[in-house]
Amino acid sequence: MIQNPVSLVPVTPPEPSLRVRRNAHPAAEGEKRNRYTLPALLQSGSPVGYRTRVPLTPAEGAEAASLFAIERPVAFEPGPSVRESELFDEVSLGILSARQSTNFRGHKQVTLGPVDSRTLAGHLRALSGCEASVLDHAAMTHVVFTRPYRTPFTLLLTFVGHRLGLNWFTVPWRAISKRWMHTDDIPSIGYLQHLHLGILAEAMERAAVVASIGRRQAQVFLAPFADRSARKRNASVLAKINRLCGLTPSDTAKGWRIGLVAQVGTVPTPIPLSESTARKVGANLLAFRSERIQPGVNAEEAAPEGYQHRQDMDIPEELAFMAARAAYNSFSHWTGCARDQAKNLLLLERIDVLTDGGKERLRQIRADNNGITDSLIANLPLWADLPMGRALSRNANRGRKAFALVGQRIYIGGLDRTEVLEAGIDPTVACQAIGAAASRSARLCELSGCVDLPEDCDLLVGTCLMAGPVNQNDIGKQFYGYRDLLTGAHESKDPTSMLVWTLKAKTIADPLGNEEQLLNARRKGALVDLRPAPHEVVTLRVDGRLMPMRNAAGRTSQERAFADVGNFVRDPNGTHIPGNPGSAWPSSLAEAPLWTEQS
Amino acid sequence: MTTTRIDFDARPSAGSFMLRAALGRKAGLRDGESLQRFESAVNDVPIEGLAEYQAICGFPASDTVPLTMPQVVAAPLHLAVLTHSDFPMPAMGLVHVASRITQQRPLRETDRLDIVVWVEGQRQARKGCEIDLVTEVRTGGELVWESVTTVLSTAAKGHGNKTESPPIPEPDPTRSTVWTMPSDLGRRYGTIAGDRNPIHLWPITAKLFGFKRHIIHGMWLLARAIAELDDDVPDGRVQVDVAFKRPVFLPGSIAFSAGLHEGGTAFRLNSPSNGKPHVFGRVQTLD
Repeated sequence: MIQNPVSLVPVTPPEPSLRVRRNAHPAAEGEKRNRYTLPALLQSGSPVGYRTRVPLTPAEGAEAASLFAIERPVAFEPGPSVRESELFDEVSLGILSARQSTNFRGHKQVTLGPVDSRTLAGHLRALSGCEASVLDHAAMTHVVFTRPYRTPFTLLLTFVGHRLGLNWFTVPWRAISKRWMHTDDIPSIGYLQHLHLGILAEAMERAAVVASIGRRQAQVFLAPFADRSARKRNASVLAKINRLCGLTPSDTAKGWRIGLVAQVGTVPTPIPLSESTARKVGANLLAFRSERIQPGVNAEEAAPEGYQHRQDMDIPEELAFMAARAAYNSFSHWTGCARDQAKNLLLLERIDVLTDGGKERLRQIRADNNGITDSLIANLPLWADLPMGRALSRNANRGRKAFALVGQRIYIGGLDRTEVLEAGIDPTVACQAIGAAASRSARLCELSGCVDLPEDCDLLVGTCLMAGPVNQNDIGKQFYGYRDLLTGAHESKDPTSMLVWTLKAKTIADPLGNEEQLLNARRKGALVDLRPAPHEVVTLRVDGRLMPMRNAAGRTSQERAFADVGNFVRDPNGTHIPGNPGSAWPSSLAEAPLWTEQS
Repeated sequence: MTTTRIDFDARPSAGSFMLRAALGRKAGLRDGESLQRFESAVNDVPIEGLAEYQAICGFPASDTVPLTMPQVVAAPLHLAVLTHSDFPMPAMGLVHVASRITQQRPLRETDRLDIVVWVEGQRQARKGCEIDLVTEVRTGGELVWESVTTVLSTAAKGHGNKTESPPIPEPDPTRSTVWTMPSDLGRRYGTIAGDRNPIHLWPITAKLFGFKRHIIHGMWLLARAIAELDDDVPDGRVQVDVAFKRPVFLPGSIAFSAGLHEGGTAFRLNSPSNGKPHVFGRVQTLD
């Protein structure tokens, strides 16, 4: 499948007098800390940290564009052993940072060396429904396990949509089936698991190239593990892979199962990418992921002056065009359908918020989602809400801000299940491809916003991927008779919306307090996905033994990936946040090959 | 000036000296009295417990002896000097305030060490007097490692004046991270290093000596810092200077940072809550 070429589209910054930066500083003595002040400290094993965007030259941008149209590898050749530091860079851009801000740690990875990769390749060949050729000579293979999405929001959903009088029975029944049979309260919660896998697949494919400076590529398999019927067909082989990776029956009972497998190997024709561009792109990808962009409006009254400025900026039409091309490329890449077919199957509604029609549409979505929230609260079982001090209704009310939509271009993505089935595509794979498409489109826009990024701007383009508005709409669809978000734009189809992504041209980064929620256990730690450290989600299989990555010499990693680029948040005086730059893993361990055997 | 020599045929155990230190009663230095020379030596000492030392201090496993480990090997000799019946100051209550370690070449696990330790004379300090405990390590007659450990004793009259501290280097950090130290770290390190000073063991034993809680060994902090610096500490001739300003309580955390400074690498350990320095130091190559 040949993808259409894409390029980064530079965004013109506003005139210097309209440029503003975050310029956050630590709270002065006696000053109350808030989301606009710098955190006092970072104690985290995550490779991300608090990062800033790195300017790219147009030439570097042109070089980096190839990362948004990577074709599948056709063969691997024997190559040098993978160094530990290369794997660290790769997993840092993959499983350790793929998603932006979701509040659930739903993936874990086992990485196998060349010998185990050969065994696994045999298992993969025995699977039915692989979407690409299983390749020989893999230098390593990542097996990613996934589990259903469960958060305080899904806890709230347990109590939603029950009929008065019956809820004494139906609420416990739903809780039991959710816990033991892994059923979802509403379909869009189940889609999240697959959207996340698609985003991860897309990130892992790019990570293999960036970490190896174009020498290695990933062959990612999603289809054989996608839906229940595929897993049933492949049950005996999947059991062998589970055993190889040490997945226990207790893990399976908790809902863990294989989500994807990625073979990584040296390719005969490297992807042209210079080392300096690869390092800058890697550092930028982490900077994008360091942010937890709030879908709500940031320009609250308490915000510093910089946030109150109106900036006369918009997403250029050419960038919107290129973002759509990247999305269709990605959808076609992951589903295997033709590009033209992708344009029919990937249902999109584009809302241009700066136009009159766009504003109206946005108001309508907000009104509908608020109506759904009102119905939800009115129908919550009082026997559950009152003893909890109305915690359930308060939680539901807080959702109004999370489900709000801001941006200049808003895309709602989804598909028509019947149409997808008729095209011979597994709807689960199509759902994963929507996650991948949205992610690729958003990353392309964010990186475009780094081309010729002036010193007095934090960024030029911000993006946000969110499922919140879709989930809220789904509650309305399932329980209160609302139509799907995409129905109006695709009247002739039976659409299911799955994800929303927004683009906004601006020069000031969101408050650092939003990012801190992802890294500081004491700040809403229970509600957010504290960014994982390597040893928490990556396991290596070496000499037949499974061992957590970077847990040696009585310590665990505090290294920030791509730290050589130095894009760490500092205060206006240039002072670091203590702990933010991290510390490199011992070089004798980082520079050593992980496996002695050849691929 | 007389010299008191304490020679050993083999590396002694630190346990009996610790007991002697805990039970001993000494008056301290009298006004005008000068500390005579005390010297202790032992030859052909093997390096034992390397893997355990590396693991507890955060060094990757290897046959290279960490820069700080000879101090641990020599520790029983230090105690032998400080707890000698003629040594005028009580060993309990000595505060480790600074160290200088000079390594001529890295030691290997198979090396056998000839160790000499001595102390001679004292300096008046603000709250007492400081003494320098000098350690020299030779292999095959070649001087390979030496250290000067400065300890403060309050069992002597000080000059009472507040001295101006030299500025603490604050380079732009190339490493900045936070260590978490569990409550049992002092006990585990003490077992490996042979230093079971009660102030490092339990809150209750530390309270007996005036600390609100137990504290981690200064030499663990230095070793952990050297481990964190990794290849910022070169393999060849190296000198490390460190000053211990405040104790670090257990359990707790401490913010480590390091960066290039005047041709070497400066490091510091600050309180994560108020930023006050607890330890700072510098590593530089000797040519």
